[in-house]
Amino acid sequence: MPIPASSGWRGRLAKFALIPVVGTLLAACTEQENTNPTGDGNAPNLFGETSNGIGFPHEVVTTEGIAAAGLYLPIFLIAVVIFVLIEGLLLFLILRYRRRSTGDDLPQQTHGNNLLEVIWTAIPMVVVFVLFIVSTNVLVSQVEAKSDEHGAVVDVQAFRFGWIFDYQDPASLDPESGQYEQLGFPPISGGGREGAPEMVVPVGEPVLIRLTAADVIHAWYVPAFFFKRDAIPGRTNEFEFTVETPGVYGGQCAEFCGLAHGDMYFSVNAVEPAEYEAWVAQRLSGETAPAAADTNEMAEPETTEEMSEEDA
Amino acid sequence: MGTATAHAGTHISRRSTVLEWLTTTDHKKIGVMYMVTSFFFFMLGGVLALGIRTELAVPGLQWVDQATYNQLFGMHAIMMIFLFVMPMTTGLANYVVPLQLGAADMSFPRINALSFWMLVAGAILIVSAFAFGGAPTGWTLYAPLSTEFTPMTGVDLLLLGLVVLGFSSIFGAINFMVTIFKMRAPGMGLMRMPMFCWTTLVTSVLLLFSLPVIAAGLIMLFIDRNYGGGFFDPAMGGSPILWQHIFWFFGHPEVYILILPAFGVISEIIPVFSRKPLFGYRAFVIATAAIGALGFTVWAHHMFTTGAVYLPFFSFFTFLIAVPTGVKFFNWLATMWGGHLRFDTPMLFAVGFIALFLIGGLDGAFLAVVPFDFMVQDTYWVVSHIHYVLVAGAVFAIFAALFYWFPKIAGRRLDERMGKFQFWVLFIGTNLAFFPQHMLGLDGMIRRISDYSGNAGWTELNLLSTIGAFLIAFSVLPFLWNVFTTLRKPAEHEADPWDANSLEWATTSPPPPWNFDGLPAVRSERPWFDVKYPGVGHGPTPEHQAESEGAAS
Repeated sequence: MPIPASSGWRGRLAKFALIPVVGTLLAACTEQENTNPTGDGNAPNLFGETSNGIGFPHEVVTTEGIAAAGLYLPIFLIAVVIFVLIEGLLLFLILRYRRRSTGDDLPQQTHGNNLLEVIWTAIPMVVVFVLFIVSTNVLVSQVEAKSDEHGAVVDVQAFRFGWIFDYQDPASLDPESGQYEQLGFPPISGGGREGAPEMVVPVGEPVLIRLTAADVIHAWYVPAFFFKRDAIPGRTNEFEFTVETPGVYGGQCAEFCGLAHGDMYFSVNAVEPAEYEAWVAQRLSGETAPAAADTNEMAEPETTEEMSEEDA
Repeated sequence: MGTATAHAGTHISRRSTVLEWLTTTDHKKIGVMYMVTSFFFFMLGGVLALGIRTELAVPGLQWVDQATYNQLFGMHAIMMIFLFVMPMTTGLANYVVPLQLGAADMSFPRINALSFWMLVAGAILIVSAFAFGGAPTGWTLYAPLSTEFTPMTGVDLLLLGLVVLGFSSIFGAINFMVTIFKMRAPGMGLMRMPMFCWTTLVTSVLLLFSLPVIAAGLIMLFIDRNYGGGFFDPAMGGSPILWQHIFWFFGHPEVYILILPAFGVISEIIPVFSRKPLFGYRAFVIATAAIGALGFTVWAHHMFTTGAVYLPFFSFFTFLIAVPTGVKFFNWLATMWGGHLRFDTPMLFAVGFIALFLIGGLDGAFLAVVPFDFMVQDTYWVVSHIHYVLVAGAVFAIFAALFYWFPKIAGRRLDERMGKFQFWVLFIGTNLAFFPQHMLGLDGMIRRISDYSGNAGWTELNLLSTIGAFLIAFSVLPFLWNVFTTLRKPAEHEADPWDANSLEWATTSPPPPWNFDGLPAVRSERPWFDVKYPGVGHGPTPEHQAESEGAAS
């Protein structure tokens, strides 16, 4: 959804959105350093400037996410217009028709008006139909779009309470079975508050994630990717993303999965393709970066059999 | 109309009074028992909510550990939904619907009593879960978390309690449907029923269609847990997604089960305090039925992120639900247009409902946008949405209803000044508690976590939200005090304190056990108004006359 890039009116709108309710209180707390895996530098708000200027109050860095987040601003504006109209009308009615005398007089007893009622049924119908068309178009043509070639293919398995990232070789795709071969280094795994694993991916190339779970339902959620997908035992969910800006983006399990659900962090480190190749080569040679909190020895849950997706 | 005093004057000992209440089949007494019981659980569920909000007020784990926290939010939801809003609206309907229909009681008074006592039994089972390890599953009970990974007996007790509650509601739903279809006063065609009866009817249909599904699902879960079943276990060929389909096929209509009676209450109160008939009665009936029907087509919008549902279908119908809901909003506003508005406490709560429920409607429409749902599903945006719908919606309507019908039930009006004080505290508290959660959701704060990083920038908003939650809790105190002091005052026995429209105001306050000594003729949807204002009540034009005659036949 293309948004005209005139920063003038958007800037004014951003200020406008800051005014109501608690927005002003928030302005004070924007400068905090942020190390939380799922946060970004912006203060929580209903509306805000992001580096790529899509008017969503959280940074969004993937091609798919930017397309999806572009839907937010127009819908937000429609919601604001409806809100102002209805609340304004309500306020007007309260002030205008407040009963002033205590007499027994009755106002005119209107029972209805067919024309009016048809109009206020038809207009919302048109609005929601347009919203449906526009949003489904973004969904199908951009968010769920599939590419043939991938910069990286990672099998992700969620478990209580951590993640396993098993890198596959994108070039090894067998078109018959749809299977890949492992890239050749042991899976990266970890979990909890301290040992959150990091997934390294190349910038600018589509990354294919094949997601499943070892025990209960989890969800893979990276706010900066504007995306989450459930990790379901016995089922493999596939999705793609293309990161546009290098950086480390925090993620967290979003589906309640038990005791330490709130500590099930991970992060995605998007690096330039050359750097990614170097990282892969380093991994293949058996070295590990000294800083990485690696828990390769961690017992890997037995690979659940690739079940057909028809169980849905 | 002095029959009630004769009844109340008979001297009965305390013991036989207790026995009378325990064994009663009078829909009014059962209704009061429903309301008192559910209000108790409102406060208990509220205490759990304060536990959640206190823990989240600032980063770090201060008051409860993760395990306790995981009990709190699940039990809070279960109590508020199954032990507060549902029995509260059932209690209101129990008291009001037979009176509005001009009936002496429900069709099946003993089944009515059975429904209530099953509620008590179910509630005891659910509360006793606390003593047996609790139920750290969330109210959604997603398998396999709720099967293999929560071995405590508490979950089994919760499942059994919910099954018992389910059957209680199924019996109740049948009872209401039969009462509404068979017990209406002479002349009261379906299209002359008060709107609260209409919403009760549609709610009952929803209950009857959705509860057997969830009851079966709960029993399947019970079998998986205890008898080696594999309905939801992929290792045995089952599917965790199947549980989500079963749960939400019930769970989404459930939302309308909670909110339609609220719509009915608002549609009773707005016309009375505007001194006008409900604008677009017929459209209102159609919109109510449409919301009920569409409620069964959108369950999988709770499952957009599973990757296992056909997204455009459920997105489309989710959008579509906005249309009949919008019709209701416009009709309420048009009812107020040109009226003589009185702002007694019931009307204050009704207008507050319209003002705030709108927010719950708008932020819900965002969720129909699938790509946006991918971002905010399971975040505080959804928490905010559900609370704008159920607190600003259901709770406001429940208080509106309690203030509106209290004079009928107790023969005295609740204190207006205290009521208005309560309203404003609740109004401010609701917005403070739930509005900031929108921003937290957009910033990626997920729900069902007991802690968050101090660096996330979420601290201030969480603190605000917690302050709001305490204001909401505080607003209950003036209400309790109001009820307590009002009941100590001498009864006024005003039959019709609000100059209202429907038949419950045509009898004494409180009504005698047999409800009516005589009924006025029913010629419109405002029979009692027609008695008081002969000639004006039935609409200004002959067309309307002919129209409603035609609809009634």
